Amino acid sequence: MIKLSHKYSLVFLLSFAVLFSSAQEEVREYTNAGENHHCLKCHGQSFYTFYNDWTELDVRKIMPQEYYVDTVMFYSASHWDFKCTDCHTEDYQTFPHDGELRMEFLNTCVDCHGGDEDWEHFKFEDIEEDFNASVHSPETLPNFSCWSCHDPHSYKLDYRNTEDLISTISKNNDACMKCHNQESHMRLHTDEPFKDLATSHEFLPNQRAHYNKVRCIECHGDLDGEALVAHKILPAEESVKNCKECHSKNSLLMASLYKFQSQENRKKFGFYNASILNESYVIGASKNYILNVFTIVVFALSILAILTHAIILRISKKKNHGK
Amino acid sequence: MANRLYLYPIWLRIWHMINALLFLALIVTGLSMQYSPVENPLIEFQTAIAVHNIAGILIIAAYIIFMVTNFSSSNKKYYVMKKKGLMDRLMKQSRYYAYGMFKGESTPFPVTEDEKFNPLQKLSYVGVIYILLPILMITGLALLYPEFIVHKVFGLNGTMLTALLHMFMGFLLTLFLLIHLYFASLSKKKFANFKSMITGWHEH
Ligand code: HEC
Ligand code: HEC
Ligand code: HEC
Ligand code: HEC
Ligand code: HEC
Ligand code: HEC
Ligand code: HEC
Ligand code: HEM
Repeated sequence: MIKLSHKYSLVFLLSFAVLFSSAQEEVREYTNAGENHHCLKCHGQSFYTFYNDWTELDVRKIMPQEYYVDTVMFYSASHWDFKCTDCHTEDYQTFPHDGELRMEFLNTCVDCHGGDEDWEHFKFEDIEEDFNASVHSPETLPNFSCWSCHDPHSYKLDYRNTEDLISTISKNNDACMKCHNQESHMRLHTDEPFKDLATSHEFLPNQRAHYNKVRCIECHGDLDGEALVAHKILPAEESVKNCKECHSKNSLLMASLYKFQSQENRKKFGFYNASILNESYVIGASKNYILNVFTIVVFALSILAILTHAIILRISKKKNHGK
Repeated sequence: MANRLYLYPIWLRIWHMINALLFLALIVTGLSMQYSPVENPLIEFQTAIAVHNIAGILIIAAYIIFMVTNFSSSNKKYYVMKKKGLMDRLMKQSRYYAYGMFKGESTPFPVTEDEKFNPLQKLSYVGVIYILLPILMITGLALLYPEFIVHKVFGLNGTMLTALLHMFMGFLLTLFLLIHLYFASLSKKKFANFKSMITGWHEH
């Protein structure tokens, strides 16, 4: 009975995955779904069952959150057509898993994507170089890897082909917040005292508005890098603190967050930085040329009119006096 | 002293003084935020934002106090526009400013206990107090709490429209201030009107 219900839940979940992905892509064929189901029937649920040889009973146990793999996310991720055992060793087929398996070697992005023409446009090598020079470099934080931000079971290419920038920003920032807003995660990497974001960014008003409309890397990334997404995260003291970097006519946002859009329609309805306007209103960056000219002209004319009035009044007063 | 009228009670003068100072602070910081260059801002962006926010909240508080006091005092009668003959009165006053004044004519609407504003003055004060200032304040508050702003209005960015309206009201009010100052200076005796706004007494 239990087996059967698992099958149904798989069909159910997969049809969800198809629904989610078919919006943008052709219908996918999940060639490995059957095999992965063997792992996901445990890792894809909040509990798992196994047959205890010693007591000769079926046992139901809680699956620790840390070992949970979201099925829908997995099948809509960039690596959706993977078998679990493409990355993990086949030995995981057996349960209980052998204790030594936790020492398995896991490939990094560059192990698979490096030196490959098909992936050249992503500039994996440049990204690795930037990563190694960043504050998160494996030299300073040995437990850190590409996987620390790119969740192996849900990472999905987003910014490059986004149509909803706000949701992309939120997903990108979540990747940073997962650690920087959560002490328990930071503890995996460092013994330094935890500093929460709200206090370290006290200088920034409307913090929520900023985190919703710009990515952390706008201020923390080295924007001179080769890759589309900055991967060289600079130390705190080298980060952008000058508000005018964004809140001005030549806003850095045009070179980072709006890199794609900025090439087209630079000026729309007479707006500078028009592409920002679709998503945000940035004080100082979103200026209207026509409105600027209009206000200056009206002001100048008013002052001129007042001056003329004042001069005529002076002259006429003298005249009236003379009479 | 039959030709002295007590027209500007103390609460009105205090409001007016506070309002004028806050408004000047808002103009300067607003312009600095939006237009000053990156290299040498008129006022440091962060300071400008902070001052602008605080002054904005204070001016709203002052406005609410003004409205309540004005409505519960006899001063409210000066802010009632009578439709009948309005056009005529406006034309008469405009003619005076554009022509009669130069001829040495006396004003068509002398200041009295019942009517301290001339028709043009009244129109501009009513417009400023009941229309322009409220819109400026509401849009300003909305920008302070952008989560309440409709995200898209006919496909356009709601915050942007709010900000444009805010700036446009700021522009109109600055224009008002310019004209206000000039006409306040047009008294027989030098600075008589400015003195009135300090002592409360209008002198003919
Ligand atoms: C009967 C349920 C069950 C099945 C089937 C199962 N696992 Fe697990 N797995 C677990 C549990 C429970 C853990 C938690 C740690 C432990 O008990 O080893 C775990 C832990 C893991 C870990 C983390 C090991 C570590 O400590 O770092 C990996 C990786 C893993 N499983 C992969 C797989 C893969 C791949 C498959 C399918 C080929 C699979 N598992 C099948 C229950 C299962
Ligand atoms: C693209 C490669 C890849 C695929 C495919 C993959 N994993 Fe993983 N998995 C990893 C990596 C890398 C880690 C270690 C993550 C880390 O170090 O933070 C990991 C860790 C785990 C863990 C340990 C808990 C954790 O999240 O750190 C479990 C459990 C696990 N994987 C299960 C699965 C299951 C089940 C599948 C198939 C549905 C699967 N994995 C498919 C790369 C992969
Ligand atoms: C085990 C080898 C392997 C590892 C490790 C790996 N990838 Fe991939 N990756 C692939 C393969 C194979 C594909 C092609 C999948 C396809 O086309 O269905 C792919 C596809 C992609 C895509 C393209 C998806 C798309 O929608 O066009 C991106 C982006 C990507 N990987 C990024 C990464 C990143 C980032 C990492 C590290 C965090 C990584 N990969 C780790 C093998 C790997
Ligand atoms: C500090 C967090 C972090 C680390 C560490 C990290 N990345 Fe990324 N990476 C991101 C974010 C955020 C994105 C943007 C994802 C999106 O919206 O597509 C991204 C995007 C990418 C992309 C897609 C860029 C494009 O052109 O569309 C690639 C490829 C990539 N990372 C590779 C790597 C590799 C390789 C490593 C390790 C050497 C790595 N990343 C380490 C956060 C990180
Ligand atoms: C896996 C956890 C993790 C993730 C994800 C992560 N960080 Fe970090 N980050 C750390 C740790 C640990 C440090 C070192 C902190 C320390 O030494 O106090 C650090 C350091 C930093 C620093 C330097 C702080 C300083 O004191 O100089 C910055 C800036 C930073 N991270 C930004 C980011 C950004 C931006 C992202 C997302 C693109 C991100 N981090 C993602 C764990 C993480
Ligand atoms: C407007 C630019 C800006 C944005 C957006 C921003 N930061 Fe920062 N961040 C800074 C600056 C500047 C500092 C240094 C503050 C200081 O030294 O007073 C800083 C400090 C930090 C630190 C170091 C804290 C410490 O005290 O050591 C971390 C970690 C960090 N930021 C992470 C993030 C993350 C994660 C995000 C996205 C959610 C983010 N930042 C968004 C500008 C920004
Ligand atoms: C990385 C670029 C960036 C930097 C640096 C930056 N901002 Fe912003 N800021 C934005 C964006 C984008 C918005 C628009 C948010 C929106 O549309 O709601 C914004 C909005 C604001 C708002 C208005 C929020 C609202 O909509 O009511 C204020 C106030 C503000 N920023 C102040 C500052 C100050 C002060 C600093 C310097 C300490 C600063 N910002 C630095 C990008 C930036
Ligand atoms: C430096 C700035 C200012 C100066 C020197 C100034 C001066 C004066 C003077 C002299 C008067 C009395 C003469 C008259 O009734 O016309 C007056 C009245 C008035 N002013 Fe101003 N003003 C300033 C700013 C402002 C601002 C910013 C506003 C509104 C946004 C404003 C609104 C008013 C109103 C509503 C009255 C009539 C008050 C009443 O009698 O009920 N003033 N001002």
